[in-house]
Amino acid sequence: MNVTALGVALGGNTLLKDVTFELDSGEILGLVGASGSGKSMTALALMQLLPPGAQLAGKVALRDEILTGKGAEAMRAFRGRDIGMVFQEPMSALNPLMPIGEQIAETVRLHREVSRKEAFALAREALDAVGLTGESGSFERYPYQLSGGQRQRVAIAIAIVLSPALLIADEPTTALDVIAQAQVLALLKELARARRMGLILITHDLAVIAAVADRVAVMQAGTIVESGYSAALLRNPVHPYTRSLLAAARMPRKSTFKRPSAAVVETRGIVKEYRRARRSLWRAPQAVRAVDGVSLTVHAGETVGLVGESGSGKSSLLRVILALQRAQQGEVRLLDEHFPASDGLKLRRQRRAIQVVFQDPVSSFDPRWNVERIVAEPFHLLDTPPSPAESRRLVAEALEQVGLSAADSTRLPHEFSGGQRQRIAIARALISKPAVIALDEAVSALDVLVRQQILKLLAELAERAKLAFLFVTHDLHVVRSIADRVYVMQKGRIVEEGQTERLFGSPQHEYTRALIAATPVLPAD
Amino acid sequence: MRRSTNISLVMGGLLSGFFVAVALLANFWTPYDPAILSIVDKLQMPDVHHWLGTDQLGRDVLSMIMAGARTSVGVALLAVLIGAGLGVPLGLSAAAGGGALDEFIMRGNDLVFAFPALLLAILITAVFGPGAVNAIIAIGVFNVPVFARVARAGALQEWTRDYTLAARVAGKSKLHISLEHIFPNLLSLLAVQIAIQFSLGIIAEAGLSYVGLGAQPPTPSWGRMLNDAQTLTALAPHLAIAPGVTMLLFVLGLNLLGEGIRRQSGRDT
Repeated sequence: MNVTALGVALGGNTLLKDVTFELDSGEILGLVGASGSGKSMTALALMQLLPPGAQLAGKVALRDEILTGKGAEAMRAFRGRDIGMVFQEPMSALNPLMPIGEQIAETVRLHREVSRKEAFALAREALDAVGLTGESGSFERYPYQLSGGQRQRVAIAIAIVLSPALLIADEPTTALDVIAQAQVLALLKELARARRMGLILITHDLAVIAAVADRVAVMQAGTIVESGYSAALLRNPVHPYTRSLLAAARMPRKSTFKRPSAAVVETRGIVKEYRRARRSLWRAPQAVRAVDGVSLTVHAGETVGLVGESGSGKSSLLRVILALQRAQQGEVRLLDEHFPASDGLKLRRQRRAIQVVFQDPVSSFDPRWNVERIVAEPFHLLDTPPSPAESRRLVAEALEQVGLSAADSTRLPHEFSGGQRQRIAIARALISKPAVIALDEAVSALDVLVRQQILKLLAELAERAKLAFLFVTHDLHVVRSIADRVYVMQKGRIVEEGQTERLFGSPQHEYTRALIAATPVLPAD
Repeated sequence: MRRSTNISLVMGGLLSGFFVAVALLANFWTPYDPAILSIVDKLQMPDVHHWLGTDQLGRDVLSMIMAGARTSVGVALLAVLIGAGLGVPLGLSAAAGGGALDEFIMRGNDLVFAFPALLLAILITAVFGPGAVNAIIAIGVFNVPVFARVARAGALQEWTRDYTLAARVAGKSKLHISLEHIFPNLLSLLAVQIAIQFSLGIIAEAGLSYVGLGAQPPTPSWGRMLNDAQTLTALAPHLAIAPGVTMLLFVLGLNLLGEGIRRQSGRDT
C-alpha cells in the first residue's frame, strides 16, 4: 500500500494535509495521536468513506491499483474484499439479530459468487483463525452471548474472511479489558504476519504501539509530524509533540507513600446482589452477586486505587459507598459513623464529606445548566445555603482551584473540552469541602496529555486540601502513578491489597499477576 | 454542520398559527352570524358575498368554519392540557419511583389504552348528556396514557445519565431531581407530542360531533357540518369540501410543526 500526500478538506477547513506513508504486506503500522488529530479521518479517507461535502486530494494505491478517483461502485467492491475494517465498539458493529457465523458468511456472499455452503465453510475457517472454536456451537451464537473480547474477534473474522490485503483497526481494544486487549492485540499481530496482510492500527495508546507495531506515524492536527520504526522512534523521539505524548504516557511512578492515619471511609463485608429478570413464574428469580463481602478502608489524605476489569463489581461497590444504592449486607462507615444516617439532617451533613467524579464528561452535567449552577449544586447540602453573591464567590474560587477561570461560570457544559469538563466535575466535588472524593474511571475517557494534567491536578489537591481519593480504574499505569495503596478486585471480591509499589513489585495473587502481565508497557526511558 | 432552514417548522408553524388565529378571531368577528338562518340564500355556491357559499339553511359556511375552528381548537387544547397535566407527572413518577409504583402506573395506563374511546364518550354522554365539555373529558382521558408513556420513556433515559447521580450525591430527592433536571430536559420531547395530540384531538372532536356526541347545536362544529353535508354531497359538494379541507390543512400543519420541533431539538443537542 502506498499513500501519497493524502488530504481532506471540508467546507474550507483542512482536516488532513500531506499524509504520506507506505505499508508492506505483513507489516503493522501504528497511527497514533490525540483525539481530533486526524487518525480516524485518515482511515476513512483510505476507504473513501468521507462525510458528505468533503474534498479528497492525493493518491492512495493498493498493490498496483490506484484507488483514488475510482467511482463509488468500484470502491464498494474494494471495501470488505481488499480492505477490511475493525472498529472500536464491537457491539455496534455487529448485527444483534443474526448469528455470528451467518454475519461472516454474508460478507463473503456480498463479494463473491459462492454457494451458501462454501460461504459457511469460509466463515468457519475465519472463526478458527480468530480463535473462536471449541465452544459448543459458537457459529450459531448471537453477539449478546459473547464477551467484549469475543465480539471483537468476530468483527476481526468478518474483516479478514476474504483475505484482504489491508486491515484497518480503529482503536480495536480501547473498549476492552486489559486481559482481552492483550489477547486481541496478539491475535491481530499473528494474523498480519501469517496472512501477509498489511495492518494499520489506530490508537491513542503508545504502549499498544510499542507492543505490536513495526512502524509508527505520529499525527497532530491532520498531519504526520513524525514517523519511523516504532522501537527506534519510541526510544529517540525527535518531534516535540511526540516527546510530550511519550512523556505523558510514561507516567511517573509514585515514589512517596502516605502512612495510614484515621479512617475516612470504611466498608465492612459489603454484599450487593441484583435480581435477574424472572425466568419462570414458579421459580424465584436468580440473583447475581456483584459485590461479595468487600471490606476496604480509605484513610485521611490517602489516595486509594481500586483496580479490576469491567464486571468485577467496582461500580456497584462505589454506588454502595456513595449511598446511591443499598447493600444487602455489610456496613459503610463514613468518618466513623454509619452511612447513610436515617436522620435527614444528619445525612445531608454526611453527604458533604463524600463527593464523586464520574467517567463520562458528557453525561455528568445537565446540558441546560450553566457552570455556575452545576458547581453550586452541592450547596443543597448546606443547612443555610449561601447568598447568591457568596455562592458566586465560592464557585469562582472552586473554578480557580481546578485551573478554570471565574469567567467560565456563565458558559454551558458543551462549550468545554473533555478535560475541562472533568475539571468542572472536580470543582463541583470540591465545593462542599469533602474529606474524600470518589473518582469512577475519571481519567479513562481523556487523551494522554489531558489525563496527565488532570492527574497532576488531583495530586496537588490531595496535597493542598488534605483530600482522600478513592480512585476506581482499570488502568494500572494510572493507579501506579497516583495511588498510595491499591485494592485489586475480581468477581466481586478483593483478591489483593497493598501499598502500591509493593503490590506491583511482588504481586501475590495470580489475577494481579495476569493483569500486570497483560498491561502493555512502553520501553524504559 | 449543515444549516438548512427547517421547512417543516416554518410551514407547520405558519399553517397551525393561521388556524389558531382564525379561531381567536372568531371570538370577536365572523363575516356573518353563523347561527342566523336565511332560507332565501340556501345552498348557494361560493361567490363574492359568501366566499365558501351557504348551507341548506342559508348560513354562511365561512362563518361556520371560523366558529367551528373555535370549538375545535378549544376542545383539542383543553384535552391536551388534561392529558399532559395528568400524564406527565404520572410518567415522571413512574420513572423516578420504579418497581411497584412503575408497574402500577403503567398497567393502569394500559387499562385506559385498552378501553374503547368511543365507548367512554358514549358513557360520559349517557351520564352527563352530550356537549363540548364531555368531548374534552373523553379526549383528555385518552391523552393521559400517551403523555405518561412519552414522559416515562424520556425520563428513564435521563435517569441513566450521570448528572442525576451527581444530583443525588448533592442530597437531592428524586422528586426534586425530576422537577429540576428531568422535566426541563423533556420539554422538546413533550412539545412534539403536544403538537401530535393536538391534531389527533381535532380529528377526535370532529368524529364525536359527527356521531352527535360532541358540541351540540347551535355551537358550530366541523364534524357536524360534515354530517349535515353528507346527504347533500351531490347537490352542494362545497358543504363537505370546505370543512374537510380545513381540517386536513390544520392537521397537516400541526404534524409538520411536531416534525419541525423534533428536528430542531435533534439539531441542538
